[in-house]
Amino acid sequence: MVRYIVRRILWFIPVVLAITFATFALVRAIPGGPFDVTGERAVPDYIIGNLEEIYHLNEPVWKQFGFYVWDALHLDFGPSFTYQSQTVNDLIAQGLPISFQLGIMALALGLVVGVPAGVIAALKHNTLSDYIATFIAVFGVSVPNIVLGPLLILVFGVWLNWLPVAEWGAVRPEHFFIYPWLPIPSLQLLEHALLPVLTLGSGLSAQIARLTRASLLQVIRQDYIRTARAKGLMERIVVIRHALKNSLIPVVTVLGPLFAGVVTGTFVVEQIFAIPGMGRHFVASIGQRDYPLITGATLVYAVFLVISNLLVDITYVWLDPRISYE
Amino acid sequence: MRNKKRNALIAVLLIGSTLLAACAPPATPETVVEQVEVTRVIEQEGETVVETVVEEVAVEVVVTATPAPADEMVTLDRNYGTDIAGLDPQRAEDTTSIEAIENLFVGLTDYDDTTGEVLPELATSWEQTVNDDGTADWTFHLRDDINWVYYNPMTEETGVVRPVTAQDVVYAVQRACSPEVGTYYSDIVGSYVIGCGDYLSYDPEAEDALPLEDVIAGVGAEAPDDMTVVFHLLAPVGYWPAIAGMWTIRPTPQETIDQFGPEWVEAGNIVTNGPYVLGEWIHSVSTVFLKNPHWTGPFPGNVEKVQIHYINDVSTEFALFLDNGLDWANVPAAELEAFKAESPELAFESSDLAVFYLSFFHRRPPFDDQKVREAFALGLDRQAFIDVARSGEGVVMTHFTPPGMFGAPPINEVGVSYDPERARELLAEAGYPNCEGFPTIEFLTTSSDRARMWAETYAAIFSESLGCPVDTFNIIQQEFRVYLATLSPDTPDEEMPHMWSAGWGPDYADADNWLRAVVHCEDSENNPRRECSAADELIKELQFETDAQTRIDGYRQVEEMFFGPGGEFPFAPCFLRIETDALQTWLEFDPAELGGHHYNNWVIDWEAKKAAQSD
Repeated sequence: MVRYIVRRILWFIPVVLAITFATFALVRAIPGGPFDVTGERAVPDYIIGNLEEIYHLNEPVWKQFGFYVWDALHLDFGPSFTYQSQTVNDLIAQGLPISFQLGIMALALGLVVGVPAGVIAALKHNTLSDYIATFIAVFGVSVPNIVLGPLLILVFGVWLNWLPVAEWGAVRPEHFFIYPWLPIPSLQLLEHALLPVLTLGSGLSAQIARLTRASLLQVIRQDYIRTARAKGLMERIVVIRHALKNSLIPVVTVLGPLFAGVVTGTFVVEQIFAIPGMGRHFVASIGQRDYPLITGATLVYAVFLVISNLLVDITYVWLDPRISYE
Repeated sequence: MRNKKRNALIAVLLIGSTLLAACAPPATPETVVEQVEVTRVIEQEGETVVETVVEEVAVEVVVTATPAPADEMVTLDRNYGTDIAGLDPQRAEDTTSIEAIENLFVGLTDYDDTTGEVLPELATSWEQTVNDDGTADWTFHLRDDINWVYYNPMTEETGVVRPVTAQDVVYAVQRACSPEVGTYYSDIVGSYVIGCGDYLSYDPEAEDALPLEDVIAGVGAEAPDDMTVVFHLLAPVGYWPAIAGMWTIRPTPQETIDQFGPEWVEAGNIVTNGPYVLGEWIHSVSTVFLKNPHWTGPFPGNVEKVQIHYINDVSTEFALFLDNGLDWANVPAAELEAFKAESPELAFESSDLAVFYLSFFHRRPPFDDQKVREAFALGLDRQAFIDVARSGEGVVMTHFTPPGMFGAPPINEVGVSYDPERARELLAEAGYPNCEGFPTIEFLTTSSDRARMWAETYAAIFSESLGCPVDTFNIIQQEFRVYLATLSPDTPDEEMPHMWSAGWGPDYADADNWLRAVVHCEDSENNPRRECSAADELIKELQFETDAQTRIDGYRQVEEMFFGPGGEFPFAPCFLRIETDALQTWLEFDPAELGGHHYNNWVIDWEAKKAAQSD
């Protein structure tokens, strides 16, 4: 197992390098450059040339990539073209913890609601409980965040005035303006987090509930479950220890990329609730041709993705003892 | 319950602040020694060397306590949408940065919010001298009571560092002209100030390269004494006072920039000289401006604290406005009509003087023919466009330079109005009777839904007025930077679109910033790729013309040559943008049309705002 993990970690290097190169090359292939700010007034070539020299954009692309990788190895992701006094490191350090806070809470909601809902729906197959749980799951998957978010704001923020309309309520950091990675519970955070977590978590819980239900329905009809019941095991033991554990494999498989996706920033929810996380950088930086920011944000996502996929693979062994990497 | 707690907290803070104010010691000057990193260019054994040394500098500061707890200050809640890109005046390019800089840094001059007239700010008076060699000197006399002020967010103290001097202006000009700093707007300075363009394009490796210090010294700005700045210009420029107030050459503090590098603009590092200080800047989360207690300039308003929010989604912004969390907000397009009908007291119309137009590519048929271009200008029912695509928000423009700019003709006295009959005649004369044989037009616009709707409206209008089927117009949508790249000079003629939608907003209040910067065949990007004409020659003459009336008459003549009957029609002007926003009834102000709003002029009925927020 240890050898497997070490081997997988070593594989991270070419994977992350390939993703970096692909991002690096693709953003430069898009027409339009970072300094094309005008369509009408002529900007002399020497001004564009000066700016390109400052940011090494006058060098051949392979050389720029070499500089980038070298700096990235030293954890320096370069300056932002858009935010003049900030580096990409600053932007990641400011945004990522906030996205992580939101993502962790939404994922927790997704699991807390999704797994039990899926289990109930599977165990009470074709009963009212199943229909209600399935309906809610389908509703959750079908209603996009872009609809649910503003609706919740309108009802709870504007009409009822129970909760804040937008912005993030985490306790402000004292130094360097960097937020803690995990949410520190406070009334202010709870007030601000409730609606975005509900918006993001509803889709997640629906997705998890549907997967859990489908997988559990398949497992519960297996011979070994019948055997467990024939042995006279209590239904609770049969479901939790034998059926649910095995049925969680597809759920865990999906959780890997889901985790990487939600904790590194979700554009729509962060945009709707004005949460200053990482999500906007994935979209806005492309429009602004902020090459270092696009590459840096993608790199962060890639690292989270490969790590969460590794964790998923390790979890398989625990969930199903038949799986072995030796 | 929350309100009770809040009220109790406010009461405690109020009592506390009164006690603190009573106990506060009087402001006293004190001298502190600061270590400053200084970068110099020196001559050493015949070589130019850049050296960085740490020097100890004695700085006299006057420390004063913050006058009131932040919660009790008259607070403006303003939304910027996205984080401020930067607070460095010499590097600012976007509207939010420029608005923030307007309130933190003084310019030599400023604009009147209502009339657009150039007013004194750091400079009290100015005069131009025309030299025998055709160059000109503009001399600005500065006031001596504007100070560099710092604010410490940890201790909440402000202090005066030193007075703003003419050397700060000279430093700012040299910095704007530096290849390491200069950006888009530096070119405006480079177009006028002697030596600025040479410094911007300085190549130390060129064979005939002068020593760097000679190039810097050659930038035409000098300070004969602490309170006088002289600009040496390439030629007499009557509207230089308008340009001299631009953010690009606002004085900046050299010692702070040397000490902190690019991070000199961060809260706690920055020193400013405007009506507000930077109280807090948590990027993308919250920015706070506080009234500068050492400000001696005009402050007719009562806004003591400006809380900047960063809400990019218009629906959320509007929801926060309805929740009384913002004083001024955009209204989502889908809700505009209902908002104006249901809440007329909150609807607020303003214009940013941006003019939108349809541009034609001059080097390919059919728009290589002047008659076709004029036919399209005549067939453009501008009022219909404003009514349909803009919900009535806009003013018809038949020429380019809008009211409020020096040299603008009286609105719509120049240019051709909607005349479909004449348009069809001209189209027939060009060989396209009833639009027969007219080629498919590639109509380029940007990628938003709104851009698509505008393009479809234009197509429908031309279909109606010129008789061209709607499918004559092949609407091509491109993401903004791709759109800019398509229109750039690098695109071959055969790959250029026939027609595209564009807009322009002013940098300074002069027709030069419209007709030369946007239309001139050489000084602008010249996206339509038109040939130079007599109108271009006249524009260049007017750039350096000193007689005001000659310039006014000349620019009118240029507008006639471009947009009058039989004119060249580089493009067809369409409308001046007006927008309706949501404005709380407790806020009173005149929106600035140029260079950013002045929060120090705004007035908030604080009791009314507090009452609404506690409901």
